[in-house]
Amino acid sequence: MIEFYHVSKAYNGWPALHDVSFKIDKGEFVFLTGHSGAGKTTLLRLIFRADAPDEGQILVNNRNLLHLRESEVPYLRRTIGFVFQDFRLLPKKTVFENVALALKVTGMPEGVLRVKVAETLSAVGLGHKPDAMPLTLSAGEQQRVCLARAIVSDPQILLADEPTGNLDADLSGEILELMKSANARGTTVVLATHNRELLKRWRRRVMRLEQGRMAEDRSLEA
Amino acid sequence: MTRLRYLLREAVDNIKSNRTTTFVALATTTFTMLGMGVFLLLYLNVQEALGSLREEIKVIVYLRDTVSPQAVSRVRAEIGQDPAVAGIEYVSREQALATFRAQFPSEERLLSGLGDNPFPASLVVKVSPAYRSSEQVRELVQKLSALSETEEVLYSQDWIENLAVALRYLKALGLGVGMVLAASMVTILANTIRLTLHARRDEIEIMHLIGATTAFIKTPFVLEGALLGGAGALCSLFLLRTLFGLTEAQLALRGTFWGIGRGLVFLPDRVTVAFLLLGIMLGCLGSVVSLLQQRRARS
Repeated sequence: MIEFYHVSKAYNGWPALHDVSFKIDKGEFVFLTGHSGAGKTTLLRLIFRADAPDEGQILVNNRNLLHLRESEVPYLRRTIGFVFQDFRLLPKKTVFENVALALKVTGMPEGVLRVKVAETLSAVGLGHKPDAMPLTLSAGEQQRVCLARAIVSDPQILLADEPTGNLDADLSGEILELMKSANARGTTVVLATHNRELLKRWRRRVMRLEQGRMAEDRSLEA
Repeated sequence: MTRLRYLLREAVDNIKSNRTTTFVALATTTFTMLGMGVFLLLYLNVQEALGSLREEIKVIVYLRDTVSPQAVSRVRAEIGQDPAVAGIEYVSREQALATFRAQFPSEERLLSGLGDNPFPASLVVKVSPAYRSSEQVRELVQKLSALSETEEVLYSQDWIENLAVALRYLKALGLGVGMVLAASMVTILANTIRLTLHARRDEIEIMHLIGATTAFIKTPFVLEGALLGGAGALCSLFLLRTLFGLTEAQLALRGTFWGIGRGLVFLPDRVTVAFLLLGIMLGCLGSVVSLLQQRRARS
């Protein structure tokens, strides 16, 4: 599903990732951990082609991202849901519109789209707030909208960059439950976090980055 | 259909979110297109006037006083055979005098001083449409001047040709001014779209990240330009029609000039549609310029 072969990436001469190799299979739930600046965000950005590696090969769904044309990138991204730490919601659009956007870009008919968005909002516990504006919501609610936007199109891969970074323990638990549900439906999940509590609570495969290198890759299936 | 509705709504939202900028852009577009419209209208009306003046090209052959009525008939028949001649009207000395009296009643005293009827008889020769070029009319005039019965030949070709030359200059000037105005309109709209792009840069980035294609992201901005350009063209047409009405009313009050006031014409329907399309096209062009600049800046 996701394969990295000797991948390196530097920004302005500063190495963010160095010779990283791993393979994540379909349906896996992987924690990507490490200190701030370890290279977690860079790794995620490389998976959905927000950046290109300086060296190495990356395969996503058996497609080599190095050979992906610029015009094909949007279609790759439609198979990947992304949850941002800072939510990245459109402030002038309602909750419903924010989530619907992920389907609108695919050209989904309005009728099907409405049903899908309503179902997803209910699944994340926001079925009663479709018309709310993002900035009127709490941080936990905004993160749930972000998650709804990421999973509404039933992506094959869900990437989450510190999704609980701004949330308290209870809200973090809720968000993780939702991700677990998505994983149970077959979505491969890669969750970047430096929250040790989460790693203890959810015993899954952990990939630990340290100064841009893969320091540890251990499977801790419950 | 869903997508089209979404893209249109996005374009309208863009316009709404930058009201002041949009208003300034719309006002500037309106006045720019009004400038183009005024030139177009001027050109069309001068061309129209020239066309009607050309239809009336006449050559007047003044006959010697000694020419007998039989000779007049013979000359008329001879001239009538020339393919350049569409028609001949004979004006006798008496008719010429009567016409003068009717047109200039206040100048009666002039005539009394001259004694006998001073006006010569004449043949008014109407030129065929296919023989109205300067060279052809001059050739006809030479033939008519060579007739022994001819005293003098007068014709109005020269100043009509001068008017045609002036029209060509007007066309060139109009094209030049039109291009400058079009370029400034594209620049203004490009700046407006650039401001919108800047204001929505975060949204654009998010849309890229969730898998929106470049076309999906950029179409609303092109539509915004098209809407602004079209609206500007529409407003300018409204202003142009109002100005045209006022000018027409003024000319009606003051009489006609060169026959232009008699038949002022507004832009024909197909030109009006083309004018609107031009506004839309220039609007799109402004957006495309802005998007290309943004792309260049990003890469």
